[in-house]
Amino acid sequence: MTLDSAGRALSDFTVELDVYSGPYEWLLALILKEELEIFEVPLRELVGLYLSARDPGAPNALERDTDFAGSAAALVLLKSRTLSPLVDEGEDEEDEALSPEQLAKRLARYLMVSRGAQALRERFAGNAGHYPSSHLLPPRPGRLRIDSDRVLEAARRTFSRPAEPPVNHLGPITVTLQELASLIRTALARGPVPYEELVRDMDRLRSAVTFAAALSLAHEGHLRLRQTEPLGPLTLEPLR
Amino acid sequence: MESALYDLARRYAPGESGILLREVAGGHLLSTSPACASAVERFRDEARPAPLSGAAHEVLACALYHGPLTRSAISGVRGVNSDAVVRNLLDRGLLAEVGTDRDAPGSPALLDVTDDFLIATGAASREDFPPLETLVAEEELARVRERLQVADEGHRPPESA
Repeated sequence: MTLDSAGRALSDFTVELDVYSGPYEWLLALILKEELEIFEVPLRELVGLYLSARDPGAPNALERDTDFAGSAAALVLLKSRTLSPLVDEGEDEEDEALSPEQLAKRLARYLMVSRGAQALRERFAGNAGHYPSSHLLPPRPGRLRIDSDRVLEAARRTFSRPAEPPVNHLGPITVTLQELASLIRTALARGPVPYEELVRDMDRLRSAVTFAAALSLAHEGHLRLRQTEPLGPLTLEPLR
Repeated sequence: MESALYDLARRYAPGESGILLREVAGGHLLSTSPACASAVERFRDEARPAPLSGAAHEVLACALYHGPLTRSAISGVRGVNSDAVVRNLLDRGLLAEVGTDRDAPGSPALLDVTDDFLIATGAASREDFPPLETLVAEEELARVRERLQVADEGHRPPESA
């Protein structure tokens, strides 16, 4: 089966990423069908690939750029929503009231699961390459059955249009990455600065955006983030 | 039966044959040796399955150590929505729905690791995995608690006179 490429400006754009290799449009489809996890797709690298493959002289260059900018913006929104903490009704208040003991308990639980995941990765790697005989294990009673609800749910997902992601959780922009990047640069002019000191008088939003700005500056090679042990003090060190 | 299995295990031991007898998932399973993996893949004209992502390993660790548990409980431990990862693991047969949580609203499905998971990790049973408490040193947990305490004191508004 072939698809008509007329009207699809990005139909010939292919990408080569660690998590996926193939047509860009299929990548979008896989993400929308949640077959591929959005937070594993490096969006910066994706934009870089588009820019390097871009032909400004092409007759449909403007259309291609517009399509790409639109889809890339949607991916950024989707990724930001996926990475946001889960918010259930009434959870906000509970989250605010979380005591250091409760937070420590949660972190300890996650730390253990994370270490368990590392151990599992090694076990999977150590046991890769065993191909079992075709004699399958006998199905256990109750395990081998077709669940009509799951079949219906799968069909509904396959044939329905993905719902538009709600954006009402996004409030007005009160602080920008550039502002806080500039603040970090000023602080770094005096030498290394602990992250805690940088965000001491900031609210949660500004602290989070400051961290994002620090990551961005580190990625661009302006600074180095140093943390000697998990959850230990984080220090920003100037590089240039 | 045990004697026959012992003979088979010697016959199909690593280094003796391209086929191995492995004790996995509460039983015995014949499989090809990893040393022959590339030849098997060429013969079957199949690529090796893509390795699991870090998120998938975390979800499996949640199910292994805290399971059976619901999707929302998994997301609660990880702090991010894990539904897509769970769906992928269900498709790969490493997770399965094993019941429902009748006490929770909507009776959500309970998820647990499968026999295929034990086979893929070369485990005879879930007892083969190290206990969760041994994976992180108590000193490390104490340092986390201490830092959170310090951070909390640092963010507490000054008491009015």
